[in-house]
Amino acid sequence: MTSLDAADLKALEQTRQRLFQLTSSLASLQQSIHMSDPLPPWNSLQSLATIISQHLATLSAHLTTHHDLLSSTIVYPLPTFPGRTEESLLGQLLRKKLEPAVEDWVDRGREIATEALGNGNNQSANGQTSGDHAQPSATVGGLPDPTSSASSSRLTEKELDSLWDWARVAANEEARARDWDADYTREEQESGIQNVITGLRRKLRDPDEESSDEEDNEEAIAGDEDEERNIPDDEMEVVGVRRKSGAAGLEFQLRRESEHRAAMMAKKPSLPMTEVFRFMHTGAEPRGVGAEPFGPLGMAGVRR
Amino acid sequence: MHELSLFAQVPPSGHDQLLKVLAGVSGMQPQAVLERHLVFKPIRPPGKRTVQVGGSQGVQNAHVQAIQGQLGGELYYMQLVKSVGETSHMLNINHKLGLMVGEESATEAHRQLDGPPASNGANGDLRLSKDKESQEYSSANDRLWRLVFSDLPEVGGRRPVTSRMVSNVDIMDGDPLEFMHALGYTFVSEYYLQGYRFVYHNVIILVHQVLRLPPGTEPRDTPAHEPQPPTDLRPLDPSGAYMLHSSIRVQDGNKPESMALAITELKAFKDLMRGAVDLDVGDRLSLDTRVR
Repeated sequence: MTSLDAADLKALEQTRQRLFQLTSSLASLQQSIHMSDPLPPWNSLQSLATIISQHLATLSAHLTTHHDLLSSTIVYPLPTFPGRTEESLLGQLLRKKLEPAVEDWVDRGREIATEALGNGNNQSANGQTSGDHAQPSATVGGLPDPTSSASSSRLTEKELDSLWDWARVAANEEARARDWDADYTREEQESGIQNVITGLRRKLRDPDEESSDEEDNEEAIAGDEDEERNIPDDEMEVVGVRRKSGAAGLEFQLRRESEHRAAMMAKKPSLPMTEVFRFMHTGAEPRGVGAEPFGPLGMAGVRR
Repeated sequence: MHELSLFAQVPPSGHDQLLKVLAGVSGMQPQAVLERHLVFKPIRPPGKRTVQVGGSQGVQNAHVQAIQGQLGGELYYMQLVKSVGETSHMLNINHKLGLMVGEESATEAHRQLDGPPASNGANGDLRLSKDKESQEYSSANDRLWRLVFSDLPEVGGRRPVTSRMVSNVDIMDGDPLEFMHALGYTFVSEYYLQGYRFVYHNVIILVHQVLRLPPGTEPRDTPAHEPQPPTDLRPLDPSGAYMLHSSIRVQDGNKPESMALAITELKAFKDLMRGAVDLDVGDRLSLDTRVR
Protein backbone atom coordinates (compact mmCIF):
# COMPACT_ATOMS: atom_id res chain seq x y z
CA MET A 1 0.00 0.00 0.00
CA THR A 2 1.47 3.26 -1.12
CA SER A 3 0.43 6.65 -0.01
CA LEU A 4 -0.91 9.11 -2.55
CA ASP A 5 1.55 11.43 -4.23
CA ALA A 6 0.94 15.02 -5.25
CA ALA A 7 -0.28 14.14 -8.75
CA ASP A 8 -2.83 11.71 -7.39
CA LEU A 9 -4.01 14.24 -4.91
CA LYS A 10 -4.39 16.76 -7.66
CA ALA A 11 -6.43 14.36 -9.73
CA LEU A 12 -8.68 13.65 -6.80
CA GLU A 13 -9.07 17.31 -6.12
CA GLN A 14 -9.95 17.89 -9.78
CA THR A 15 -12.55 15.19 -9.59
CA ARG A 16 -14.06 16.92 -6.62
CA GLN A 17 -14.14 20.24 -8.47
CA ARG A 18 -15.74 18.77 -11.53
CA LEU A 19 -18.37 17.10 -9.48
CA PHE A 20 -19.01 20.29 -7.64
CA GLN A 21 -19.49 22.16 -10.92
CA LEU A 22 -21.86 19.51 -12.16
CA THR A 23 -23.95 19.48 -9.02
CA SER A 24 -24.11 23.25 -8.90
CA SER A 25 -25.26 23.48 -12.52
CA LEU A 26 -27.81 20.77 -11.88
CA ALA A 27 -28.95 22.65 -8.83
CA SER A 28 -29.38 25.84 -10.80
CA LEU A 29 -31.44 24.01 -13.41
CA GLN A 30 -33.57 22.49 -10.70
CA GLN A 31 -33.98 25.84 -9.06
CA SER A 32 -34.94 27.61 -12.25
CA ILE A 33 -37.55 24.96 -12.96
CA HIS A 34 -38.92 25.19 -9.45
CA MET A 35 -38.87 28.94 -9.15
CA SER A 36 -40.39 30.09 -12.39
CA ASP A 37 -43.97 29.47 -13.28
CA PRO A 38 -44.59 28.61 -16.07
CA LEU A 39 -41.37 27.01 -17.13
CA PRO A 40 -38.40 29.25 -17.86
CA PRO A 41 -37.95 30.22 -21.50
CA TRP A 42 -36.74 27.47 -23.68
CA ASN A 43 -33.49 29.15 -24.53
CA SER A 44 -32.41 29.42 -20.90
CA LEU A 45 -33.31 25.78 -20.38
CA GLN A 46 -31.34 24.91 -23.41
CA SER A 47 -28.28 26.81 -22.26
CA LEU A 48 -28.47 25.16 -18.86
CA ALA A 49 -28.70 21.76 -20.48
CA THR A 50 -25.70 22.59 -22.60
CA ILE A 51 -23.68 23.58 -19.56
CA ILE A 52 -24.62 20.40 -17.77
CA SER A 53 -23.74 18.20 -20.68
CA GLN A 54 -20.40 19.98 -21.00
CA HIS A 55 -19.68 19.34 -17.35
CA LEU A 56 -20.69 15.75 -17.77
CA ALA A 57 -18.40 15.36 -20.72
CA THR A 58 -15.40 16.86 -18.92
CA LEU A 59 -16.11 14.73 -15.86
CA SER A 60 -16.36 11.61 -17.93
CA ALA A 61 -13.10 12.39 -19.66
CA HIS A 62 -11.48 13.07 -16.32
CA LEU A 63 -12.69 9.79 -14.83
CA THR A 64 -11.45 7.88 -17.82
CA THR A 65 -8.05 9.51 -17.60
CA HIS A 66 -7.58 8.73 -13.93
CA HIS A 67 -9.32 5.40 -14.10
CA ASP A 68 -6.39 3.47 -12.69
CA LEU A 69 -5.90 5.76 -9.77
CA LEU A 70 -9.53 6.02 -8.87
CA SER A 71 -10.24 2.33 -9.17
CA SER A 72 -7.29 1.40 -6.93
CA THR A 73 -7.80 4.06 -4.30
CA ILE A 74 -9.48 2.99 -1.09
CA VAL A 75 -10.64 5.05 1.79
CA TYR A 76 -9.68 4.29 5.34
CA PRO A 77 -9.99 6.35 8.47
CA LEU A 78 -6.92 7.63 10.24
CA PRO A 79 -6.75 7.16 13.95
CA THR A 80 -7.11 10.89 14.38
CA PHE A 81 -10.47 10.88 12.60
CA PRO A 82 -13.19 11.82 15.06
CA GLY A 83 -15.09 8.58 14.55
CA ARG A 84 -17.58 9.10 17.29
CA THR A 85 -18.77 12.58 16.40
CA GLU A 86 -18.72 12.14 12.61
CA GLU A 87 -20.08 8.62 12.50
CA SER A 88 -22.59 9.22 9.73
CA LEU A 89 -20.01 10.83 7.48
CA LEU A 90 -17.61 8.04 8.23
CA GLY A 91 -20.18 5.45 7.30
CA GLN A 92 -20.90 7.29 4.05
CA LEU A 93 -17.26 7.49 3.15
CA LEU A 94 -16.50 3.90 3.98
CA ARG A 95 -19.52 2.44 2.24
CA LYS A 96 -18.52 0.29 -0.72
CA LYS A 97 -21.89 -0.59 -2.09
CA LEU A 98 -24.12 2.01 -3.63
CA GLU A 99 -27.24 3.06 -1.93
CA PRO A 100 -30.28 1.15 -3.20
CA ALA A 101 -31.86 4.14 -4.93
CA VAL A 102 -28.60 5.05 -6.58
CA GLU A 103 -28.11 1.50 -7.69
CA ASP A 104 -31.42 1.64 -9.48
CA TRP A 105 -30.36 4.81 -11.26
CA VAL A 106 -27.15 3.23 -12.35
CA ASP A 107 -28.92 0.19 -13.65
CA ARG A 108 -31.38 2.29 -15.59
CA GLY A 109 -28.62 4.41 -16.99
CA ARG A 110 -26.77 1.34 -18.16
CA GLU A 111 -29.85 0.02 -19.81
CA ILE A 112 -30.29 3.27 -21.67
CA ALA A 113 -26.66 3.31 -22.63
CA THR A 114 -26.76 -0.20 -24.03
CA GLU A 115 -29.92 0.58 -25.94
CA ALA A 116 -28.73 3.87 -27.28
CA LEU A 117 -25.25 2.81 -28.22
CA GLY A 118 -26.01 -0.77 -29.08
CA ASN A 119 -22.53 -1.82 -28.03
CA GLY A 120 -22.44 -0.13 -24.65
CA ASN A 121 -20.21 -2.83 -23.18
CA ASN A 122 -17.29 -0.57 -22.94
CA GLN A 123 -19.15 2.00 -20.96
CA SER A 124 -20.92 -0.49 -18.73
CA ALA A 125 -17.61 -2.06 -17.85
CA ASN A 126 -16.34 1.38 -17.07
CA GLY A 127 -19.30 2.07 -14.86
CA GLN A 128 -18.88 -1.19 -13.04
CA THR A 129 -15.37 -0.47 -12.13
CA SER A 130 -16.08 3.06 -11.12
CA GLY A 131 -18.99 1.74 -9.12
CA ASP A 132 -16.49 0.56 -6.59
CA HIS A 133 -15.81 4.11 -5.80
CA ALA A 134 -18.66 5.55 -3.93
CA GLN A 135 -18.55 9.20 -4.88
CA PRO A 136 -18.25 9.13 -8.71
CA SER A 137 -20.70 6.29 -9.07
CA ALA A 138 -23.28 8.05 -7.07
CA THR A 139 -23.14 11.12 -9.24
CA VAL A 140 -22.94 9.23 -12.47
CA GLY A 141 -25.84 7.17 -11.37
CA GLY A 142 -27.76 10.25 -10.45
CA LEU A 143 -27.67 11.60 -13.95
CA PRO A 144 -30.26 9.51 -15.63
CA ASP A 145 -32.81 10.70 -13.15
CA PRO A 146 -34.45 13.39 -15.34
CA THR A 147 -34.96 10.88 -18.10
CA SER A 148 -35.99 8.06 -15.85
CA SER A 149 -39.66 8.49 -16.52
CA ALA A 150 -39.07 8.57 -20.26
CA SER A 151 -36.78 5.60 -20.29
CA SER A 152 -39.64 3.16 -19.98
CA SER A 153 -41.25 4.43 -23.19
CA ARG A 154 -37.99 4.76 -25.02
CA LEU A 155 -38.15 4.30 -28.77
CA THR A 156 -36.21 1.66 -30.54
CA GLU A 157 -33.71 2.58 -33.19
CA LYS A 158 -36.09 1.66 -35.94
CA GLU A 159 -38.86 3.77 -34.48
CA LEU A 160 -36.44 6.65 -34.12
CA ASP A 161 -35.48 6.40 -37.75
CA SER A 162 -39.08 6.36 -38.88
CA LEU A 163 -39.82 9.30 -36.57
CA TRP A 164 -37.05 11.34 -38.14
CA ASP A 165 -38.13 10.37 -41.62
CA TRP A 166 -41.58 11.60 -40.85
CA ALA A 167 -40.35 14.72 -39.09
CA ARG A 168 -38.34 15.91 -42.06
CA VAL A 169 -41.39 15.95 -44.28
CA ALA A 170 -43.79 17.14 -41.62
CA ALA A 171 -41.63 20.07 -40.58
CA ASN A 172 -41.17 21.08 -44.17
CA GLU A 173 -44.88 20.92 -44.81
CA GLU A 174 -45.59 22.95 -41.76
CA ALA A 175 -43.06 25.56 -42.78
CA ARG A 176 -44.53 25.82 -46.25
CA ALA A 177 -48.01 26.14 -44.86
CA ARG A 178 -47.09 29.51 -43.37
CA ASP A 179 -47.05 32.80 -45.15
CA TRP A 180 -43.79 34.03 -43.74
CA ASP A 181 -43.97 37.44 -45.36
CA ALA A 182 -47.49 38.30 -44.36
CA ASP A 183 -48.20 41.11 -41.97
CA TYR A 184 -51.01 39.38 -40.13
CA THR A 185 -51.28 36.03 -38.47
CA ARG A 186 -53.99 33.65 -39.47
CA GLU A 187 -55.73 34.12 -36.16
CA GLU A 188 -55.80 37.85 -36.78
CA GLN A 189 -57.12 37.35 -40.28
CA GLU A 190 -59.88 35.10 -39.12
CA SER A 191 -60.99 37.48 -36.41
CA GLY A 192 -60.81 40.43 -38.79
CA ILE A 193 -57.70 42.45 -39.37
CA GLN A 194 -59.43 45.73 -38.65
CA ASN A 195 -59.48 44.75 -34.98
CA VAL A 196 -55.74 44.36 -34.81
CA ILE A 197 -54.00 47.20 -33.07
CA THR A 198 -50.45 47.26 -34.28
CA GLY A 199 -49.41 50.76 -33.41
CA LEU A 200 -47.41 50.80 -36.61
CA ARG A 201 -47.45 53.73 -38.93
CA ARG A 202 -46.62 52.00 -42.13
CA LYS A 203 -49.49 50.61 -44.09
CA LEU A 204 -49.82 46.91 -43.63
CA ARG A 205 -50.80 44.70 -46.48
CA ASP A 206 -54.35 43.59 -46.43
CA PRO A 207 -54.29 39.99 -47.56
CA ASP A 208 -57.70 40.31 -49.19
CA GLU A 209 -56.86 43.36 -51.20
CA GLU A 210 -53.45 42.27 -52.21
CA SER A 211 -54.62 40.80 -55.44
CA SER A 212 -56.01 44.01 -56.81
CA ASP A 213 -53.25 46.22 -55.52
CA GLU A 214 -50.43 44.18 -56.78
CA GLU A 215 -48.40 45.17 -59.76
CA ASP A 216 -48.19 42.94 -62.75
CA ASN A 217 -44.84 41.55 -61.84
CA GLU A 218 -46.08 40.53 -58.46
CA GLU A 219 -48.88 38.68 -60.06
CA ALA A 220 -46.36 36.48 -61.74
CA ILE A 221 -45.48 34.96 -58.41
CA ALA A 222 -49.06 34.79 -57.27
CA GLY A 223 -49.07 31.07 -57.64
CA ASP A 224 -46.25 30.71 -55.15
CA GLU A 225 -48.00 32.87 -52.64
CA ASP A 226 -51.09 30.77 -52.84
CA GLU A 227 -49.06 27.75 -52.04
CA GLU A 228 -47.64 29.31 -48.94
CA ARG A 229 -50.92 30.44 -47.60
CA ASN A 230 -52.18 27.06 -46.52
CA ILE A 231 -55.44 27.33 -48.38
CA PRO A 232 -57.38 24.22 -49.26
CA ASP A 233 -57.43 23.34 -52.90
CA ASP A 234 -60.94 24.45 -53.73
CA GLU A 235 -60.43 27.81 -52.07
CA MET A 236 -57.24 28.30 -53.99
CA GLU A 237 -59.24 28.19 -57.17
CA VAL A 238 -61.41 31.00 -55.96
CA VAL A 239 -58.43 33.12 -55.12
CA GLY A 240 -56.92 32.46 -58.50
CA VAL A 241 -60.05 33.52 -60.29
CA ARG A 242 -60.31 36.61 -58.20
CA ARG A 243 -56.76 37.52 -58.98
CA LYS A 244 -57.38 37.09 -62.63
CA SER A 245 -60.49 39.17 -62.58
CA GLY A 246 -58.65 41.81 -60.63
CA ALA A 247 -55.97 41.90 -63.26
CA ALA A 248 -58.52 42.16 -66.00
CA GLY A 249 -60.18 45.01 -64.20
CA LEU A 250 -56.91 46.82 -64.03
CA GLU A 251 -56.42 46.38 -67.71
CA PHE A 252 -59.87 47.59 -68.39
CA GLN A 253 -59.29 50.72 -66.39
CA LEU A 254 -56.11 51.43 -68.22
CA ARG A 255 -57.85 51.00 -71.48
CA ARG A 256 -60.56 53.40 -70.55
CA GLU A 257 -58.09 56.04 -69.53
CA SER A 258 -56.08 55.86 -72.69
CA GLU A 259 -57.18 57.29 -75.91
CA HIS A 260 -59.70 55.22 -77.72
CA ARG A 261 -57.85 55.36 -80.96
CA ALA A 262 -54.56 54.45 -79.39
CA ALA A 263 -56.14 51.48 -77.69
CA MET A 264 -57.52 50.34 -80.97
CA MET A 265 -54.12 50.63 -82.55
CA ALA A 266 -52.23 49.09 -79.71
CA LYS A 267 -53.03 45.63 -80.95
CA LYS A 268 -52.06 46.25 -84.52
CA PRO A 269 -48.48 45.70 -85.54
CA SER A 270 -46.85 48.69 -87.09
CA LEU A 271 -46.63 48.88 -90.83
CA PRO A 272 -43.27 47.93 -92.31
CA MET A 273 -41.19 50.92 -93.28
CA THR A 274 -40.96 49.68 -96.82
CA GLU A 275 -44.72 49.89 -97.21
CA VAL A 276 -44.73 53.41 -95.86
CA PHE A 277 -42.00 54.38 -98.27
CA ARG A 278 -43.88 52.87 -101.18
CA PHE A 279 -46.99 54.76 -100.30
CA MET A 280 -45.07 57.98 -99.86
CA HIS A 281 -43.31 57.76 -103.17
CA THR A 282 -45.72 56.04 -105.48
CA GLY A 283 -49.03 56.10 -103.68
CA ALA A 284 -49.00 52.32 -103.61
CA GLU A 285 -51.52 50.98 -101.19
CA PRO A 286 -49.72 49.25 -98.34
CA ARG A 287 -50.19 45.54 -98.35
CA GLY A 288 -51.49 43.73 -95.32
CA VAL A 289 -53.70 46.55 -94.17
CA GLY A 290 -56.71 44.35 -94.69
CA ALA A 291 -59.88 45.68 -96.25
CA GLU A 292 -59.20 48.89 -98.05
CA PRO A 293 -62.34 50.95 -98.08
CA PHE A 294 -60.31 54.03 -98.84
CA GLY A 295 -58.21 52.84 -101.70
CA PRO A 296 -57.41 55.79 -103.90
CA LEU A 297 -58.43 55.73 -107.45
CA GLY A 298 -55.64 55.55 -109.91
CA MET A 299 -54.32 52.60 -108.01
CA ALA A 300 -55.25 50.34 -110.85
CA GLY A 301 -52.67 52.06 -112.94
CA VAL A 302 -50.02 51.64 -110.33
CA ARG A 303 -50.61 47.97 -109.87
CA ARG A 304 -50.84 47.13 -113.48
CA MET B 1 -28.61 67.97 -104.70
CA HIS B 2 -27.87 64.71 -102.96
CA GLU B 3 -29.65 63.57 -99.90
CA LEU B 4 -27.99 61.14 -97.51
CA SER B 5 -30.50 59.53 -95.20
CA LEU B 6 -30.94 57.13 -92.37
CA PHE B 7 -34.35 55.93 -91.27
CA ALA B 8 -35.94 54.45 -88.22
CA GLN B 9 -39.36 53.50 -87.11
CA VAL B 10 -40.62 54.76 -83.78
CA PRO B 11 -43.47 53.09 -81.94
CA PRO B 12 -46.16 55.49 -80.73
CA SER B 13 -45.22 54.78 -77.13
CA GLY B 14 -41.70 56.03 -77.71
CA HIS B 15 -42.62 59.05 -79.76
CA ASP B 16 -42.91 61.63 -77.00
CA GLN B 17 -39.74 60.50 -75.37
CA LEU B 18 -37.88 60.59 -78.64
CA LEU B 19 -39.02 64.13 -79.27
CA LYS B 20 -37.63 65.17 -75.93
CA VAL B 21 -34.38 63.36 -76.58
CA LEU B 22 -34.05 65.05 -79.94
CA ALA B 23 -34.89 68.40 -78.45
CA GLY B 24 -32.11 67.90 -75.95
CA VAL B 25 -29.63 66.68 -78.53
CA SER B 26 -30.31 69.38 -81.04
CA GLY B 27 -30.78 72.11 -78.50
CA MET B 28 -33.93 73.35 -80.13
CA GLN B 29 -37.62 73.02 -79.73
CA PRO B 30 -39.36 70.75 -82.20
CA GLN B 31 -40.63 72.55 -85.25
CA ALA B 32 -44.05 71.36 -86.23
CA VAL B 33 -44.42 70.19 -89.78
CA LEU B 34 -47.62 69.56 -91.65
CA GLU B 35 -47.25 69.02 -95.34
CA ARG B 36 -49.67 68.08 -98.03
CA HIS B 37 -48.25 65.71 -100.57
CA LEU B 38 -49.76 65.05 -103.97
CA VAL B 39 -48.31 62.11 -105.82
CA PHE B 40 -48.23 62.31 -109.60
CA LYS B 41 -47.51 59.61 -112.08
CA PRO B 42 -46.31 60.22 -115.63
CA ILE B 43 -48.37 59.01 -118.52
CA ARG B 44 -46.28 56.71 -120.60
CA PRO B 45 -45.92 58.18 -124.07
CA PRO B 46 -47.73 56.07 -126.66
CA GLY B 47 -44.75 56.19 -128.99
CA LYS B 48 -42.74 53.92 -126.83
CA ARG B 49 -43.97 50.70 -128.32
CA THR B 50 -43.09 51.79 -131.83
CA VAL B 51 -39.46 52.30 -131.15
CA GLN B 52 -37.42 49.94 -133.22
CA VAL B 53 -35.95 47.16 -131.28
CA GLY B 54 -33.93 45.30 -133.83
CA GLY B 55 -31.17 46.55 -136.05
CA SER B 56 -31.98 49.25 -138.54
CA GLN B 57 -30.37 50.65 -141.59
CA GLY B 58 -31.96 54.03 -141.10
CA VAL B 59 -29.64 56.74 -140.00
CA GLN B 60 -31.08 58.86 -137.19
CA ASN B 61 -29.79 62.21 -136.34
CA ALA B 62 -28.58 62.99 -132.85
CA HIS B 63 -31.68 64.95 -131.89
CA VAL B 64 -34.03 62.08 -132.65
CA GLN B 65 -31.76 59.69 -130.84
CA ALA B 66 -31.82 61.83 -127.71
CA ILE B 67 -35.59 62.05 -127.77
CA GLN B 68 -35.94 58.35 -128.29
CA GLY B 69 -33.56 57.72 -125.45
CA GLN B 70 -35.71 59.82 -123.20
CA LEU B 71 -38.82 58.07 -124.36
CA GLY B 72 -37.40 54.68 -123.69
CA GLY B 73 -35.90 55.72 -120.38
CA GLU B 74 -37.32 55.37 -116.96
CA LEU B 75 -40.20 57.48 -115.81
CA TYR B 76 -40.51 58.65 -112.27
CA TYR B 77 -43.22 59.65 -109.90
CA MET B 78 -43.21 63.24 -108.80
CA GLN B 79 -44.78 65.01 -105.93
CA LEU B 80 -46.27 68.36 -105.26
CA VAL B 81 -45.68 69.34 -101.68
CA LYS B 82 -47.16 72.22 -99.82
CA SER B 83 -46.75 73.11 -96.21
CA VAL B 84 -50.16 73.72 -94.72
CA GLY B 85 -48.85 75.02 -91.46
CA GLU B 86 -49.87 74.53 -87.95
CA THR B 87 -53.36 73.72 -86.97
CA SER B 88 -55.34 73.53 -83.82
CA HIS B 89 -54.95 69.78 -83.97
CA MET B 90 -51.22 70.04 -83.79
CA LEU B 91 -51.34 72.70 -81.17
CA ASN B 92 -53.33 70.31 -79.08
CA ILE B 93 -50.69 67.70 -79.55
CA ASN B 94 -48.04 70.17 -78.60
CA HIS B 95 -49.94 71.10 -75.54
CA LYS B 96 -50.26 67.48 -74.61
CA LEU B 97 -46.59 66.92 -75.03
CA GLY B 98 -45.74 69.96 -73.01
CA LEU B 99 -43.55 71.20 -75.79
CA MET B 100 -43.15 74.71 -76.95
CA VAL B 101 -43.22 74.71 -80.65
CA GLY B 102 -41.37 77.60 -82.07
CA GLU B 103 -43.18 79.62 -84.67
CA GLU B 104 -40.76 80.22 -87.40
CA SER B 105 -41.08 83.70 -88.59
CA ALA B 106 -41.27 84.68 -92.17
CA THR B 107 -38.33 86.95 -91.73
CA GLU B 108 -36.14 84.09 -90.76
CA ALA B 109 -37.34 82.15 -93.73
CA HIS B 110 -36.57 85.03 -95.99
CA ARG B 111 -33.22 85.57 -94.42
CA GLN B 112 -32.29 82.06 -95.39
CA LEU B 113 -33.47 82.48 -98.89
CA ASP B 114 -30.72 82.86 -101.37
CA GLY B 115 -33.06 84.23 -103.98
CA PRO B 116 -35.37 87.20 -103.99
CA PRO B 117 -38.57 87.03 -101.91
CA ALA B 118 -41.55 85.34 -103.43
CA SER B 119 -43.30 88.57 -104.27
CA ASN B 120 -40.45 89.74 -106.42
CA GLY B 121 -39.96 86.49 -108.22
CA ALA B 122 -43.63 85.90 -108.99
CA ASN B 123 -43.28 85.87 -112.71
CA GLY B 124 -44.19 82.30 -113.40
CA ASP B 125 -40.62 81.10 -113.55
CA LEU B 126 -39.64 77.90 -111.87
CA ARG B 127 -36.91 78.58 -109.46
CA LEU B 128 -34.70 75.91 -107.99
CA SER B 129 -34.51 76.34 -104.30
CA LYS B 130 -31.22 75.58 -102.72
CA ASP B 131 -32.80 75.45 -99.31
CA LYS B 132 -35.93 73.47 -99.03
CA GLU B 133 -36.32 74.18 -95.36
CA SER B 134 -36.55 77.91 -95.77
CA GLN B 135 -39.43 77.74 -98.14
CA GLU B 136 -41.45 75.33 -96.06
CA TYR B 137 -41.75 77.75 -93.27
CA SER B 138 -42.68 80.82 -95.10
CA SER B 139 -45.62 82.57 -93.64
CA ALA B 140 -49.09 81.53 -94.70
CA ASN B 141 -49.28 84.19 -97.40
CA ASP B 142 -46.46 83.05 -99.57
CA ARG B 143 -46.71 79.34 -98.86
CA LEU B 144 -45.93 77.68 -102.13
CA TRP B 145 -46.31 74.44 -103.89
CA ARG B 146 -43.07 72.66 -104.38
CA LEU B 147 -42.29 70.13 -107.05
CA VAL B 148 -40.29 67.34 -105.47
CA PHE B 149 -38.41 64.72 -107.36
CA SER B 150 -36.38 62.01 -105.73
CA ASP B 151 -34.36 59.50 -107.64
CA LEU B 152 -33.96 55.82 -106.98
CA PRO B 153 -31.35 55.55 -104.23
CA GLU B 154 -27.92 54.53 -105.24
CA VAL B 155 -27.01 50.90 -104.96
CA GLY B 156 -26.31 50.13 -101.34
CA GLY B 157 -23.20 48.55 -99.91
CA ARG B 158 -20.89 51.25 -101.05
CA ARG B 159 -22.14 53.66 -98.46
CA PRO B 160 -23.59 53.03 -95.02
CA VAL B 161 -26.37 55.50 -95.72
CA THR B 162 -29.13 55.85 -98.24
CA SER B 163 -27.96 58.23 -100.91
CA ARG B 164 -30.22 59.59 -103.57
CA MET B 165 -30.55 62.56 -105.80
CA VAL B 166 -33.38 64.85 -104.88
CA SER B 167 -34.65 68.00 -106.44
CA ASN B 168 -37.00 70.57 -105.01
CA VAL B 169 -38.50 73.09 -107.33
CA ASP B 170 -40.62 75.87 -105.96
CA ILE B 171 -43.58 76.80 -108.08
CA MET B 172 -43.82 80.49 -107.66
CA ASP B 173 -46.92 81.23 -109.67
CA GLY B 174 -49.62 79.69 -111.76
CA ASP B 175 -51.70 76.60 -111.30
CA PRO B 176 -49.43 73.71 -110.33
CA LEU B 177 -52.07 71.15 -111.20
CA GLU B 178 -52.39 72.49 -114.70
CA PHE B 179 -48.64 72.52 -114.94
CA MET B 180 -48.40 68.89 -113.93
CA HIS B 181 -51.07 67.96 -116.40
CA ALA B 182 -49.20 69.76 -119.12
CA LEU B 183 -46.08 67.84 -118.16
CA GLY B 184 -47.99 64.65 -118.81
CA TYR B 185 -48.55 63.64 -115.23
CA THR B 186 -51.72 62.39 -113.64
CA PHE B 187 -52.71 62.64 -110.04
CA VAL B 188 -52.40 59.39 -108.14
CA SER B 189 -52.89 59.94 -104.47
CA GLU B 190 -52.69 62.43 -101.71
CA TYR B 191 -51.38 62.22 -98.19
CA TYR B 192 -50.35 64.46 -95.35
CA LEU B 193 -47.10 64.31 -93.55
CA GLN B 194 -47.30 65.46 -89.98
CA GLY B 195 -44.46 65.59 -87.56
CA TYR B 196 -41.63 67.58 -86.06
CA ARG B 197 -38.38 68.73 -87.45
CA PHE B 198 -35.07 69.24 -85.70
CA VAL B 199 -31.75 70.34 -86.99
CA TYR B 200 -28.60 69.01 -85.40
CA HIS B 201 -25.55 70.53 -87.03
CA ASN B 202 -26.04 69.51 -90.64
CA VAL B 203 -28.48 66.72 -89.92
CA ILE B 204 -32.11 67.39 -90.59
CA ILE B 205 -34.23 65.18 -88.40
CA LEU B 206 -37.84 64.70 -89.26
CA VAL B 207 -40.06 62.64 -87.00
CA HIS B 208 -43.20 62.19 -88.97
CA GLN B 209 -46.31 60.24 -89.52
CA VAL B 210 -48.10 59.72 -92.79
CA LEU B 211 -51.74 60.71 -92.59
CA ARG B 212 -54.23 59.93 -95.25
CA LEU B 213 -57.62 61.24 -96.07
CA PRO B 214 -60.62 59.73 -94.40
CA PRO B 215 -62.28 56.98 -96.43
CA GLY B 216 -64.89 58.13 -98.87
CA THR B 217 -63.33 61.52 -99.44
CA GLU B 218 -60.56 60.33 -101.67
CA PRO B 219 -60.32 62.57 -104.69
CA ARG B 220 -60.91 60.83 -107.98
CA ASP B 221 -58.66 62.37 -110.53
CA THR B 222 -57.87 65.78 -109.20
CA PRO B 223 -56.97 66.70 -105.65
CA ALA B 224 -59.31 68.79 -103.59
CA HIS B 225 -58.77 72.52 -103.68
CA GLU B 226 -58.86 72.99 -99.98
CA PRO B 227 -56.62 71.04 -97.64
CA GLN B 228 -58.41 68.59 -95.47
CA PRO B 229 -58.90 69.56 -91.84
CA PRO B 230 -56.19 67.62 -90.07
CA THR B 231 -58.56 66.32 -87.44
CA ASP B 232 -60.24 64.16 -90.08
CA LEU B 233 -57.01 62.57 -91.17
CA ARG B 234 -56.11 59.11 -90.13
CA PRO B 235 -52.66 57.58 -90.01
CA LEU B 236 -51.57 55.28 -92.77
CA ASP B 237 -49.96 53.00 -90.24
CA PRO B 238 -52.76 51.57 -88.10
CA SER B 239 -50.37 51.14 -85.19
CA GLY B 240 -49.69 54.86 -85.13
CA ALA B 241 -45.96 54.40 -85.45
CA TYR B 242 -43.76 57.29 -86.48
CA MET B 243 -40.92 57.43 -88.91
CA LEU B 244 -37.64 59.07 -88.15
CA HIS B 245 -35.89 60.43 -91.19
CA SER B 246 -32.47 61.91 -90.60
CA SER B 247 -30.82 63.39 -93.62
CA ILE B 248 -27.95 65.54 -94.74
CA ARG B 249 -28.11 67.35 -98.02
CA VAL B 250 -25.06 67.73 -100.15
CA GLN B 251 -25.19 70.31 -102.85
CA ASP B 252 -22.84 68.51 -105.16
CA GLY B 253 -23.00 64.75 -104.96
CA ASN B 254 -20.04 64.39 -107.26
CA LYS B 255 -17.61 65.77 -104.73
CA PRO B 256 -16.33 62.77 -102.80
CA GLU B 257 -14.92 64.84 -99.97
CA SER B 258 -18.15 66.59 -99.15
CA MET B 259 -20.04 63.32 -99.43
CA ALA B 260 -17.56 61.63 -97.10
CA LEU B 261 -17.92 64.48 -94.65
CA ALA B 262 -21.71 64.14 -94.69
CA ILE B 263 -21.57 60.39 -94.30
CA THR B 264 -19.23 60.72 -91.35
CA GLU B 265 -21.52 63.20 -89.68
CA LEU B 266 -24.59 61.10 -90.29
CA LYS B 267 -22.87 58.05 -88.89
CA ALA B 268 -21.84 60.04 -85.85
CA PHE B 269 -25.44 61.02 -85.38
CA LYS B 270 -26.45 57.40 -85.67
CA ASP B 271 -23.98 56.47 -82.95
CA LEU B 272 -25.20 59.33 -80.83
CA MET B 273 -28.76 58.15 -81.05
CA ARG B 274 -27.91 54.54 -80.37
CA GLY B 275 -30.04 53.36 -77.49
CA ALA B 276 -32.75 55.88 -78.15
CA VAL B 277 -33.46 54.83 -81.69
CA ASP B 278 -31.66 52.62 -84.16
CA LEU B 279 -31.15 54.37 -87.45
CA ASP B 280 -30.67 52.30 -90.51
CA VAL B 281 -30.43 52.47 -94.24
CA GLY B 282 -33.76 52.58 -96.01
CA ASP B 283 -34.78 49.78 -98.28
CA ARG B 284 -33.65 50.86 -101.71
CA LEU B 285 -36.39 49.26 -103.72
CA SER B 286 -39.12 50.55 -101.47
CA LEU B 287 -37.74 54.03 -102.08
CA ASP B 288 -38.01 53.40 -105.78
CA THR B 289 -39.84 56.16 -107.57
CA ARG B 290 -39.74 54.65 -111.01
CA VAL B 291 -42.92 53.86 -112.81
CA ARG B 292 -43.35 50.20 -113.54
